Amino acid sequence: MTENNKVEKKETKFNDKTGKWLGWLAIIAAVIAFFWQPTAMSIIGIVLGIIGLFSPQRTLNGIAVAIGVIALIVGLV
Amino acid sequence: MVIIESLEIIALAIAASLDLFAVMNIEGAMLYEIDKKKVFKVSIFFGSWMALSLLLGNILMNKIIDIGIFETKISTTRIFLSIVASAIFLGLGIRMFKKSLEEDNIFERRLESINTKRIALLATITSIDEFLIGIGISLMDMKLNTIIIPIFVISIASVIAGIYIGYHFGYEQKRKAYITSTVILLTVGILLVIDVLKMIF
Repeated sequence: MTENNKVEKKETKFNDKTGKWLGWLAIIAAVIAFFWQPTAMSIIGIVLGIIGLFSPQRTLNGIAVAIGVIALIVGLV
Repeated sequence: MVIIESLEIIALAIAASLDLFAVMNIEGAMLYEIDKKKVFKVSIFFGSWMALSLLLGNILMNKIIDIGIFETKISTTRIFLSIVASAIFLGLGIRMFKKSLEEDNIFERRLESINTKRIALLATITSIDEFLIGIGISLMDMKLNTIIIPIFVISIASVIAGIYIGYHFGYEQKRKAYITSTVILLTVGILLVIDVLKMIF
Protein backbone atom coordinates (compact mmCIF):
# COMPACT_ATOMS: atom_id res chain seq x y z
CA MET A 1 0.00 0.00 0.00
CA THR A 2 1.37 3.39 -0.91
CA GLU A 3 1.54 6.38 1.44
CA ASN A 4 -0.91 8.32 -0.71
CA ASN A 5 -3.94 6.10 -0.28
CA LYS A 6 -3.78 5.71 3.52
CA VAL A 7 -5.62 8.95 4.30
CA GLU A 8 -8.54 10.13 2.23
CA LYS A 9 -10.09 13.43 3.31
CA LYS A 10 -13.66 14.66 2.85
CA GLU A 11 -15.52 17.46 4.60
CA THR A 12 -18.54 16.52 6.75
CA LYS A 13 -20.80 18.05 9.39
CA PHE A 14 -20.75 17.01 13.03
CA ASN A 15 -23.18 14.27 14.03
CA ASP A 16 -26.20 14.63 16.31
CA LYS A 17 -24.40 13.37 19.43
CA THR A 18 -21.50 15.82 18.98
CA GLY A 19 -24.03 18.61 18.43
CA LYS A 20 -25.79 17.80 21.71
CA TRP A 21 -22.49 17.72 23.63
CA LEU A 22 -21.36 21.01 22.11
CA GLY A 23 -24.75 22.64 22.76
CA TRP A 24 -24.97 21.66 26.41
CA LEU A 25 -21.32 22.52 27.09
CA ALA A 26 -21.94 25.90 25.44
CA ILE A 27 -25.02 26.53 27.58
CA ILE A 28 -23.11 25.57 30.77
CA ALA A 29 -20.22 27.91 29.84
CA ALA A 30 -22.63 30.73 28.98
CA VAL A 31 -24.55 30.35 32.28
CA ILE A 32 -21.29 30.27 34.28
CA ALA A 33 -20.39 33.54 32.50
CA PHE A 34 -23.13 35.32 34.46
CA PHE A 35 -21.30 34.57 37.71
CA TRP A 36 -17.59 34.03 36.94
CA GLN A 37 -15.16 35.34 34.29
CA PRO A 38 -17.97 36.85 32.15
CA THR A 39 -15.91 37.72 29.07
CA ALA A 40 -13.87 34.52 28.72
CA MET A 41 -16.68 32.12 29.65
CA SER A 42 -19.27 33.79 27.42
CA ILE A 43 -16.84 33.70 24.47
CA ILE A 44 -16.20 29.99 25.13
CA GLY A 45 -19.98 29.48 25.16
CA ILE A 46 -20.46 31.41 21.92
CA VAL A 47 -17.60 29.60 20.13
CA LEU A 48 -18.86 26.18 21.26
CA GLY A 49 -22.38 27.13 20.16
CA ILE A 50 -21.22 28.33 16.76
CA ILE A 51 -19.24 25.10 16.22
CA GLY A 52 -22.37 23.17 17.28
CA LEU A 53 -24.39 24.98 14.59
CA PHE A 54 -22.53 22.76 12.10
CA SER A 55 -24.48 19.79 13.49
CA PRO A 56 -28.18 18.84 13.23
CA GLN A 57 -28.72 20.30 16.76
CA ARG A 58 -29.14 23.85 15.46
CA THR A 59 -31.85 24.95 17.95
CA LEU A 60 -29.92 23.87 21.05
CA ASN A 61 -26.73 25.51 19.82
CA GLY A 62 -28.62 28.62 18.69
CA ILE A 63 -29.98 28.99 22.24
CA ALA A 64 -26.45 28.54 23.61
CA VAL A 65 -25.11 31.28 21.33
CA ALA A 66 -27.95 33.60 22.37
CA ILE A 67 -27.28 33.02 26.10
CA GLY A 68 -23.55 33.54 25.45
CA VAL A 69 -24.15 36.83 23.65
CA ILE A 70 -26.42 38.07 26.48
CA ALA A 71 -23.80 37.04 29.07
CA LEU A 72 -21.09 38.83 27.08
CA ILE A 73 -23.12 42.03 26.84
CA VAL A 74 -23.97 41.88 30.57
CA GLY A 75 -20.30 41.22 31.35
CA LEU A 76 -18.98 44.06 29.23
CA VAL A 77 -21.50 46.69 30.31
CA MET B 1 -3.22 44.21 26.84
CA VAL B 2 -4.57 40.99 28.18
CA ILE B 3 -2.53 39.72 31.09
CA ILE B 4 -1.89 36.09 30.39
CA GLU B 5 -2.31 34.11 33.57
CA SER B 6 -1.00 30.64 34.20
CA LEU B 7 -4.32 29.05 33.22
CA GLU B 8 -4.21 30.81 29.86
CA ILE B 9 -0.59 29.77 29.34
CA ILE B 10 -1.51 26.13 29.89
CA ALA B 11 -4.59 26.54 27.66
CA LEU B 12 -2.42 27.95 24.85
CA ALA B 13 0.14 25.18 25.29
CA ILE B 14 -2.65 22.58 25.11
CA ALA B 15 -4.19 24.24 22.04
CA ALA B 16 -0.83 24.19 20.28
CA SER B 17 -0.22 20.55 21.19
CA LEU B 18 -3.67 19.26 20.25
CA ASP B 19 -2.82 19.48 16.55
CA LEU B 20 0.08 17.19 17.34
CA PHE B 21 -2.26 14.89 19.28
CA ALA B 22 -4.59 14.63 16.27
CA VAL B 23 -1.73 13.85 13.89
CA MET B 24 -0.27 11.21 16.20
CA ASN B 25 -3.77 9.81 16.77
CA ILE B 26 -3.92 8.95 13.06
CA GLU B 27 -0.37 7.53 13.21
CA GLY B 28 -1.34 5.37 16.21
CA ALA B 29 -4.45 4.08 14.43
CA MET B 30 -2.34 2.99 11.46
CA LEU B 31 0.23 1.09 13.52
CA TYR B 32 0.25 -2.69 13.59
CA GLU B 33 2.01 -2.73 16.96
CA ILE B 34 3.55 -0.15 19.29
CA ASP B 35 7.28 0.00 19.89
CA LYS B 36 7.55 1.77 23.28
CA LYS B 37 11.17 2.86 22.76
CA LYS B 38 10.34 4.40 19.40
CA VAL B 39 7.28 6.18 20.85
CA PHE B 40 9.48 7.62 23.61
CA LYS B 41 12.11 8.81 21.09
CA VAL B 42 9.46 10.32 18.81
CA SER B 43 7.80 12.12 21.75
CA ILE B 44 11.12 13.63 22.89
CA PHE B 45 11.86 14.65 19.27
CA PHE B 46 8.44 16.29 18.88
CA GLY B 47 8.62 17.99 22.30
CA SER B 48 12.02 19.49 21.47
CA TRP B 49 10.99 20.40 17.91
CA MET B 50 7.81 22.16 19.08
CA ALA B 51 9.69 24.07 21.81
CA LEU B 52 12.34 25.06 19.25
CA SER B 53 9.71 26.27 16.76
CA LEU B 54 8.06 28.34 19.47
CA LEU B 55 11.45 29.74 20.48
CA LEU B 56 12.30 30.63 16.86
CA GLY B 57 8.99 32.43 16.35
CA ASN B 58 9.49 34.33 19.58
CA ILE B 59 13.13 35.26 18.87
CA LEU B 60 12.28 36.39 15.33
CA MET B 61 9.50 38.69 16.51
CA ASN B 62 11.56 40.08 19.41
CA LYS B 63 14.42 40.85 16.96
CA ILE B 64 12.00 42.74 14.71
CA ILE B 65 10.74 44.69 17.74
CA ASP B 66 14.36 45.36 18.89
CA ILE B 67 15.39 46.63 15.44
CA GLY B 68 12.78 49.31 15.92
CA ILE B 69 10.34 48.44 13.18
CA PHE B 70 7.74 48.49 15.92
CA GLU B 71 8.08 50.95 18.78
CA THR B 72 6.23 49.02 21.45
CA LYS B 73 5.74 51.93 23.81
CA ILE B 74 3.56 53.86 21.39
CA SER B 75 -0.07 52.99 22.04
CA THR B 76 -1.08 52.88 18.36
CA THR B 77 1.71 50.42 17.65
CA ARG B 78 0.66 48.32 20.62
CA ILE B 79 -2.85 48.27 19.20
CA PHE B 80 -1.42 47.17 15.85
CA LEU B 81 0.63 44.40 17.50
CA SER B 82 -2.45 43.22 19.40
CA ILE B 83 -4.42 43.12 16.14
CA VAL B 84 -1.67 41.02 14.51
CA ALA B 85 -1.60 38.67 17.54
CA SER B 86 -5.40 38.30 17.50
CA ALA B 87 -5.33 37.66 13.72
CA ILE B 88 -2.78 34.87 14.28
CA PHE B 89 -4.86 33.18 16.98
CA LEU B 90 -8.15 33.63 15.09
CA GLY B 91 -6.53 32.30 11.89
CA LEU B 92 -5.15 29.26 13.68
CA GLY B 93 -8.54 28.69 15.35
CA ILE B 94 -10.36 28.76 12.00
CA ARG B 95 -7.73 26.39 10.55
CA MET B 96 -8.31 23.95 13.41
CA PHE B 97 -12.08 24.25 12.91
CA LYS B 98 -11.71 23.39 9.21
CA LYS B 99 -9.59 20.40 10.19
CA SER B 100 -12.27 19.27 12.66
CA LEU B 101 -14.80 19.19 9.81
CA GLU B 102 -12.55 16.99 7.67
CA GLU B 103 -13.24 13.30 7.83
CA ASP B 104 -10.34 10.98 7.13
CA ASN B 105 -10.81 7.50 5.79
CA ILE B 106 -7.85 5.63 7.14
CA PHE B 107 -6.84 2.06 6.60
CA GLU B 108 -5.98 1.10 10.17
CA ARG B 109 -3.23 -1.32 11.29
CA ARG B 110 -1.25 -1.00 8.05
CA LEU B 111 2.12 0.27 9.27
CA GLU B 112 4.62 -2.10 10.83
CA SER B 113 6.30 0.70 12.81
CA ILE B 114 6.60 4.48 12.98
CA ASN B 115 8.12 5.79 9.75
CA THR B 116 10.95 8.23 10.57
CA LYS B 117 10.70 10.17 7.28
CA ARG B 118 6.95 10.56 7.66
CA ILE B 119 7.41 11.70 11.30
CA ALA B 120 9.97 14.34 10.25
CA LEU B 121 7.52 15.67 7.65
CA LEU B 122 4.68 15.75 10.21
CA ALA B 123 6.94 17.56 12.69
CA THR B 124 7.70 20.24 10.11
CA ILE B 125 4.03 20.74 9.24
CA THR B 126 2.75 20.86 12.84
CA SER B 127 5.59 23.13 13.97
CA ILE B 128 4.25 25.92 11.72
CA ASP B 129 1.43 26.42 14.24
CA GLU B 130 3.95 26.52 17.07
CA PHE B 131 6.07 29.07 15.18
CA LEU B 132 3.01 31.32 14.70
CA ILE B 133 2.02 30.96 18.36
CA GLY B 134 5.61 31.97 19.25
CA ILE B 135 5.14 35.16 17.23
CA GLY B 136 1.71 35.68 18.81
CA ILE B 137 2.91 35.40 22.40
CA SER B 138 5.88 37.69 21.77
CA LEU B 139 3.39 40.31 20.56
CA MET B 140 1.45 39.85 23.79
CA ASP B 141 4.37 40.82 26.05
CA MET B 142 4.46 37.32 27.45
CA LYS B 143 7.66 35.85 28.84
CA LEU B 144 8.83 32.87 26.81
CA ASN B 145 10.08 30.84 29.79
CA THR B 146 6.53 30.70 31.13
CA ILE B 147 5.30 28.78 28.08
CA ILE B 148 8.31 26.88 26.73
CA ILE B 149 8.32 24.22 29.50
CA PRO B 150 4.53 23.63 29.33
CA ILE B 151 4.81 23.31 25.51
CA PHE B 152 7.68 20.80 25.83
CA VAL B 153 5.90 18.69 28.46
CA ILE B 154 2.43 18.86 26.86
CA SER B 155 3.86 18.06 23.38
CA ILE B 156 5.49 14.91 24.76
CA ALA B 157 2.23 13.95 26.51
CA SER B 158 0.26 14.67 23.29
CA VAL B 159 2.46 12.39 21.19
CA ILE B 160 2.29 9.50 23.66
CA ALA B 161 -1.46 9.94 24.31
CA GLY B 162 -2.17 10.41 20.57
CA ILE B 163 -0.38 7.22 19.54
CA TYR B 164 -1.83 5.07 22.33
CA ILE B 165 -5.40 6.42 22.02
CA GLY B 166 -5.21 6.03 18.22
CA TYR B 167 -3.90 2.48 18.57
CA HIS B 168 -6.55 1.38 21.10
CA PHE B 169 -9.60 3.49 20.22
CA GLY B 170 -9.05 4.51 16.58
CA TYR B 171 -8.53 7.85 14.88
CA GLU B 172 -12.00 9.34 15.58
CA GLN B 173 -10.69 11.02 18.78
CA LYS B 174 -8.79 13.57 16.70
CA ARG B 175 -12.00 15.51 16.03
CA LYS B 176 -12.42 16.22 19.78
CA ALA B 177 -8.82 17.44 19.90
CA TYR B 178 -9.40 19.81 16.97
CA ILE B 179 -12.64 21.18 18.51
CA THR B 180 -10.90 21.83 21.86
CA SER B 181 -8.03 23.53 20.06
CA THR B 182 -10.49 25.66 18.04
CA VAL B 183 -12.32 26.80 21.19
CA ILE B 184 -9.09 27.78 22.99
CA LEU B 185 -7.49 29.61 20.03
CA LEU B 186 -10.68 31.46 19.04
CA THR B 187 -11.33 32.45 22.67
CA VAL B 188 -7.81 33.89 23.04
CA GLY B 189 -8.17 35.64 19.66
CA ILE B 190 -11.56 37.17 20.53
CA LEU B 191 -10.32 38.23 24.00
CA LEU B 192 -7.49 40.08 22.24
CA VAL B 193 -9.96 41.74 19.87
CA ILE B 194 -12.03 42.91 22.88
CA ASP B 195 -8.82 44.16 24.47
CA VAL B 196 -7.97 46.14 21.33
CA LEU B 197 -11.46 47.64 21.29
CA LYS B 198 -11.04 48.64 24.95
CA MET B 199 -7.71 50.32 24.08
CA ILE B 200 -9.29 52.23 21.19
CA PHE B 201 -12.43 53.39 23.01
